[in-house]
Parts: sequence; C-alpha cells; structure tokens
Amino acid sequence: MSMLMDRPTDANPPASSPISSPVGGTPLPAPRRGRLNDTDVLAVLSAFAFLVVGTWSAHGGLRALGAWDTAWTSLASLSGLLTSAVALVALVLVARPRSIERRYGLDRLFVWHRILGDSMGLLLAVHIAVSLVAWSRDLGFADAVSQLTGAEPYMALATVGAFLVGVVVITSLKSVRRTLSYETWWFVHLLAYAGFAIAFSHTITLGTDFADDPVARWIWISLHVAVAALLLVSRWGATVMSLVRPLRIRSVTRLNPDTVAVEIGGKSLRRRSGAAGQFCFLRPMARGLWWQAHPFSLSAAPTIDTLRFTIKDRGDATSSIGSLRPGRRVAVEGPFGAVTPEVLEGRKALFVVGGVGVAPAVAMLQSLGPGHEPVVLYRAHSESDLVHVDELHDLCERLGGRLRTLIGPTARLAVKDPFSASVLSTVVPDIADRGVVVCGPDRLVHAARAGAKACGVPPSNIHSEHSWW
Amino acid sequence: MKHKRESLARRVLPALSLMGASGALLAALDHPAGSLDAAAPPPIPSGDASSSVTIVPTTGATAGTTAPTTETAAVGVPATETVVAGVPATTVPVAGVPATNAPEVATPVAPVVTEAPTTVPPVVCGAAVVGPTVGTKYGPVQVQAALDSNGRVCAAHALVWPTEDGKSVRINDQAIPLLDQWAVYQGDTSFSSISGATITSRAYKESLQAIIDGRA
Repeated sequence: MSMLMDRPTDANPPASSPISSPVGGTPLPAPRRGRLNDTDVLAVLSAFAFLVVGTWSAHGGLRALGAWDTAWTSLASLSGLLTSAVALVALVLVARPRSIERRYGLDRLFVWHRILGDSMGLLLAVHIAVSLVAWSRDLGFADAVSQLTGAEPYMALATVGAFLVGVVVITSLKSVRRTLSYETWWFVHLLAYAGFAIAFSHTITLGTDFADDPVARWIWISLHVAVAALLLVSRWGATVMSLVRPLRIRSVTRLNPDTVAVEIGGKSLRRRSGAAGQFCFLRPMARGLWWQAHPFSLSAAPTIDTLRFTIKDRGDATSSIGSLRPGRRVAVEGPFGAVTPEVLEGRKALFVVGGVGVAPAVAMLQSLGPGHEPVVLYRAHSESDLVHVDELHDLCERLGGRLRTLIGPTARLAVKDPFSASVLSTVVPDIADRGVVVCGPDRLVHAARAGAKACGVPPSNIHSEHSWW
Repeated sequence: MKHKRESLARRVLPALSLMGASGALLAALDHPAGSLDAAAPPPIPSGDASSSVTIVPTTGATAGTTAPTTETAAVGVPATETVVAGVPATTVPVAGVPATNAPEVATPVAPVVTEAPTTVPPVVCGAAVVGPTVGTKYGPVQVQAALDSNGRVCAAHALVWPTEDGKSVRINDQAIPLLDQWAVYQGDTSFSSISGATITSRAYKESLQAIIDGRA
C-alpha cells in the first residue's frame, strides 16, 4: 500500500534532488501526497448522497410525491436534507482536511466551497419556498408564514439561521464581495457557523426523516458532530497552534516601492513539511494586524530555518507587513497548495508568471533539477515591477533554461494577446511536451491556460493556483 | 503611506450588528404556539355533569321516540357506517373511535339540555352524517357529525386523521378528542384551532363545515 503511495515521488528524481537554494539550508520535508484519490472521494460522496436521498425515500418521501397534498411536504424534506448535506460537504472542504488538501490544494477546496455554497443557497431558497407552499395549502399563506417563522417550535431558530446563512451566501456573491474588504466579508462569513448551529434543531424535530426514526436521527447527529469536530481540530486547531508556536521575522528586504521580501523562521518550523509553490497564511502579531491572516506564496524553497515570502502592497494590511521589524512574531498557517515541483512529473517546465506571481516560480525553480530546462515568461507592467529577476536569471542559467520578460501595459504590446497559441509556440517550440505552471492575476492565468491548451498541452499538464478571492 | 490603519472594530461591526439583529429577530419570532399540553377541553360546568348524566337518557329517549332507527344506526354503529361510506384506509382510526367516542357523545349533551327549557320542543339529534375527506400534507381528515333540528352540531367525532408519522400520531391522539368536544360544545366550527395541531384543526373544521352546510 505504502509502496503504491510513494511511487509518484520515486518517479520524480528531480524533485528529490534539489539544488542548494540561495537562502541556503536543509529543505523542509516535502508534504506527503494525499492518500485519497479521485475515486475514493467520489465513492465517499456517492455514499453520502445515497444515504441522504435514501433516508428521504425510506421515510416515504418518494411515495409521497404521488399526491399533491403530500408531495409538497416531501419536496420540502428533500430540499431541506440536500441543503444540509451540501452545507456539510462545504464545511468539510474549509476544514482543510490534510488528506484532501494535499491532493487538491487549498485553493481548489475554496473554489469548490464557493460553488457548493452557492448551490446550498439555491437549495435553501427552494426549501423555504416549497415549505411555504406545503403549509399554505392547509393554512393559507399568512398563517403558514406565522407557523414557519415562530409559532411552530424551533422554526424561529430555523428562520434566523436561514437569515444568517442567506446573508453569508449573498455577501459571497462575487459582485457583492468585491465591494467588501476581505476582513469584513470574513467576519460576516463566520456567521454561517451560528446560522447552521441554530437551524440544526429544526432538522431533527420536524418532518418525518429524523423526528420519528431514532437510527436515522443518530446517524444525522453524528455526521454533524463529526464535521464540527473536524472543523474544530483541523481548521481552528491549526489557527490556535500557529498562535501557540509563532515564527519570527528574520529580515525584511524592500525589492521595489511596492514589494518586500520577508524571511520568517523559528524553531517550530522543523515540525512542518512544505514545498516550493505552496502558500501560507501569515498573521503578524502586531497591533492592528493580529486579527487578520492573509495568504502569501513562498518565494523560496522552504527550509527548516526559513520561509521567504514576497509580498506586494495591495493597499490593505499587506502594506503594514513591510514595516514590521525583525524579531516580530508571526503566526503562520500552512504551507498549503498542490502546485509543487511534483506536478511536473519530471517533464521540462514552462512558467508563465505575472506580477508578484513570480514568487512561487522562483521557489519552484530552486527545487528543480537540470532536466527541467525551465523557460520562464515573466509579464510585468513596468521595469520597476520586476522582482527577483537576477535570481531567476541565475536559476534559469544553471538549469539550462531561459528567462523572457514582457514589460508594458497590455495596450502598448506589439501583440494583442501575448499568450496566444501562436506567440507561445514561437517562443517555446516544445511547449506541448512541457509541464506548464501559471501564476499571476486572473486574466493572465486565463489567457495563458487558453494559449497553452491551444498549443496542444494536455489540461492535466497545466497547473495554476485557483483564484479564490 | 496611502494605507490607513484598519481597525478591527470597523471590520467586525457588520458581523456583530448582524448577530445582534438575529438575536432581536429571534426574540421577536420565537413564541411557539402553546404546546398541545396547554390545549384545553371546552369548559363543561362540572356541577351540571352529574345532572347531564341523568338527562342523557331523556334526550336519547326523545330521539329514540322520534327516529329510533336512524339514531341507532348513526350514533350507535359508526364503525360499520364508515366502512360503508367507502373510506378504505380508515379501519385503523375507526377502530379506536368508539372507545374515546362514547363519553364524548354523553358529555356534550349537557349544553344542549341546558338550552332545552328555552326551546320548548326538546332538541333532537339528527342522523350522523359522514363529512368529506379533507387532505392535508400530513394525511386526510374526515369527520362524522350529527346536527340537531337547529342545525347545530350535537355529536361529532373524527373518523380519519393523519397517522403517517409518529409526530402526527402523538399530536392527534391529544387533539382529536379535544376537537370532537369543542365541535359539540360550540355547535359549529367557530371554536379555535387546537394550538400545536393547527393543520388537523383546519381540516377537521372544513370537513365539519361541509356537514353543517349540507354538502356531505
């Protein structure tokens, strides 16, 4: 079993023979590949779906669809069950369970969380609407509303829970979220915990699925307890541990007016595993910063002494980090992320990076062996935006690769799309055989992915961090 | 620097105010209608209870003299009548009816009898009529009731009520006898719904109203 698991790493000699990084030091042990594979995840999800729909059907849900009198109630049960089930899965994803995170990367878990969150919002709306219809048929609309919002025991809790969850869903819609600061959104997002907690009571006291069937009820309760425990340990336990064992800032180097490189180290770093290409959440223990954790990519292959991050001032808390002094404690969660040198599987590499997205590319180049002959396409708005250029240049030279920079606002470029298939295949003729890693702003990621795909690179060989904020 | 220091208070405020709003909302909404335990039977004067018992035969006898055959057929043999009425899935509830039904037929007579002095000819309880089945999301409800010569309900009991799930059984075990008593006490459908069994109450009244309106 373990031999099977280890095979991907064994088939990856370049990754296991890193050249010495400029930062120096022994590399952190690479994170172990997740034990779960797609089939396992699918199997668990199917079993869960079967359990949920089976519970509904076993308690007469399917049969009740036969007549209108009972069909609405049955549909209300089903939509309610599905709302809870989808919410549970969405919560498991943000609990950052190690095995799933290792395989898919936290960024992708967040993207799925968002999709599931939206679906859950829709299901909740359907659940509320169908429940209202079901009760209105017997009571009339006004009485149905009064019953479902408070007169029926536990329904006031459910109503307020739905309100909170609804607010969370709405503030997470892209258009609304854009108008909020990350922290405002995040604190509001935490209300989902309160919403689910208080709405839980009505799921086991109303309806026919759990109120009358002790076995189903206990399975349902244990599922919720298990997810709550997972969140507590895996999600919040990690935050607590990062505060208990903080690292310290070693140095802060200004690379250009907007960008700093921060080196962070500490004894507890030895306990971690990590690889180039991953990112961490940093929470500086300083006035005005301790309550917010922001994600930053490692810009050097992590060692047992030092993590280096390259941080661009985005006009929020990120600007304060550059003014922190060495010695300042920083709570670090992570590293997270699945785009590590392993994903290249020994292929030659092409990095398409934009702006501060250069950070993970620098880190990954430090961990690559010579066989990868990396080509780095580095897009930036201006000469002064380029960071780590000398480092990149040296690394490329040493690995037998090359560095191309492309500077200027998009409107002034000679070609409309610098990452179109024709441009890419001219610059990198053997692109189809390479593993492509794309890091940067959304637009660049989309353009580069599309271009690489058009050049014949299989999608499974194109790797990028998914933008989740 | 262009950056102005972010304050925790400002960032947490929206979440905290939402939390507060939820608390207020909860306080405003959470007044569950009294549980079934609080539901009361109609206030039958306990002093008259003894006298009513003695008078029951009188009313019964009067009814007996006027329409003996229909009376016995209707009130005395509800079970057979129901089956004949063609409600197939009702044998279980019906079987339970006579036991609970018997005292209720006796007690409700009291108000009728107290009114008796005013209406000179003694009020006669007519033949029991089976009302229409009213569907609810928990299951059908059907009432059987008799009207007196004034068109008021003088005997009522439910034949069918939701027993699909445990909660319905628990609720209706308590609610149905109360509804039967209230129907006779009030003489029409103007009695208030049994809190905690609103849906059954509604359907019960609908079926009863159909009998009163002669639509059954």
